[in-house]
Amino acid sequence: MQQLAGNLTLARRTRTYVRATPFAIACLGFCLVAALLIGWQPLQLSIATVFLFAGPHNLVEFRYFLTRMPARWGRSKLFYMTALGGVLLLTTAYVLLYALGQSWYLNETAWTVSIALWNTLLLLWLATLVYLRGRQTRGRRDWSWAFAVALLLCAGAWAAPVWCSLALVYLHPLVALWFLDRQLKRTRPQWRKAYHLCLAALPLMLALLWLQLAHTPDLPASGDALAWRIAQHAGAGLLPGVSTHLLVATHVFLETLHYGVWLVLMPVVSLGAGGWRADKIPLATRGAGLARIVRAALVLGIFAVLALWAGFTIDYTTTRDIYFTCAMAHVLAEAPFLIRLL
Amino acid sequence: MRSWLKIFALAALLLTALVPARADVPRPRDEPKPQREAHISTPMRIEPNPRAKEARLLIPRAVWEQMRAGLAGNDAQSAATTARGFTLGAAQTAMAGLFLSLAFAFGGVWFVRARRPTNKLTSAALGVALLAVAGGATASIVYANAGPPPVARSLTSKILTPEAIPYGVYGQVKVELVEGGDFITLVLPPQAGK
Repeated sequence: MQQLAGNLTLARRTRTYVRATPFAIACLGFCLVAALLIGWQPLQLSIATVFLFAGPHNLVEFRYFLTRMPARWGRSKLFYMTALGGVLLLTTAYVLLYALGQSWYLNETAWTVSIALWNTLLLLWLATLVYLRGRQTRGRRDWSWAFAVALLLCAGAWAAPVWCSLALVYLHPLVALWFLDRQLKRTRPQWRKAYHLCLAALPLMLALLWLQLAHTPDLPASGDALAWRIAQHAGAGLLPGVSTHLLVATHVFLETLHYGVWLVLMPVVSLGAGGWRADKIPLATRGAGLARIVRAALVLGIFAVLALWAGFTIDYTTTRDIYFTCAMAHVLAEAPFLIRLL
Repeated sequence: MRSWLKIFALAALLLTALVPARADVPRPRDEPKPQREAHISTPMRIEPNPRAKEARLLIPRAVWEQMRAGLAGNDAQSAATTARGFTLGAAQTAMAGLFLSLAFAFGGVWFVRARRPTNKLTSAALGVALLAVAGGATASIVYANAGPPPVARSLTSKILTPEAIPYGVYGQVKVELVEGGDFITLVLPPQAGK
């Protein structure tokens, strides 16, 4: 009997190994091809990836968050109210700040103070969520250290507000990788080791990309507003000594990984085949009214993606600007759901 | 055990407060980035003036206008963004200091609360140890070599001697816009201004 159990375990392990290996090979292959292509044509691929994947990946994220949202909040009510309130408030403030900055209504000092204030609010909101999450864990763990860390980061946000914003641009794509890790732990633990191997290879790929592009001349941006905006988004204004080719390539590479995780891997490991069935969403099971709202929200999401594609086709530069401003909502929404997975 | 932890925490606090020190070392020379800078070519004259009280850089208005024109558009905005990233106003410094103090206060309170009366190494102590290691690693980046000689630390007519050549020179200069003329002039006093 013991031998039989042993054989079964061995068979399961072998099967697990077989399943995890193609996953690791596919991930590494995708990263390698992406790095090569993006290093070669960063500007063109930046335009293409945002055009194709920005909208759909938001829709998949929205669908995922709906799945993760419990039907009844129960003792998590304070957590979810803080989370959703924060997303709403911070997104509105960000859009307002962007609109005022674009219209030159804010002078430089006012803009700097405003962005520092926004960063401070963001960090304190995150710390509150971590603290609340700690109280909900088994044993009601004291995660008040989050406030100390957040306040330390607030000091940095005031000392260099623009650097803080740039950090958000580069760190946000990496959040998807963390999401995937937490999700794998829940649904495909057998893939986790292979995934960690892929993650370990990522810094190596970035280092190779930087070595390759460190001495490349800047991207030709003179007279091209779109190219200039893409370079500025990647931090060209703050890092004048670094080749814009390298900066844009790094940003596009990370963004591509972000899109890949949300569009391919997350649906595979979390949503499954019935991912688009509204009756699988906990909120939709609470009542006919909520079910209709959930279905309507998903249909609206599909229309939003189509509208975004239409906008990109008509005026890519303006739509890109508007998208990256409003997309702050999804950046912020990721935080509470990730913290819930901790 | 408790006293050991206290000493350890204090040492970690001191180490984390340290920052990389650059003790009087001349700043590294900037690599020229011709593609991204608004540049013009103009003749320049260095003029030792025994009557001058301070170093002055005289820029003709016409040359200045050309430089401004070169900075117009995207480059000007880029330069503004760069400046915004590096300048630190008084209010910003005060707020950064306030938050830094609050961070240490909150961290301290958490550390005291998280402490358990046990002989085992707590997660808090491990956190402090990691901070200490990080602080120590950062603190080790010290450039405490000798600085350049006094002759290279102010812009006077003495900089035109071979003694200052290995170091380059730096110092305060008063930048003035002047009417007329078509080249930039650097006026050098005989000795550093008081």
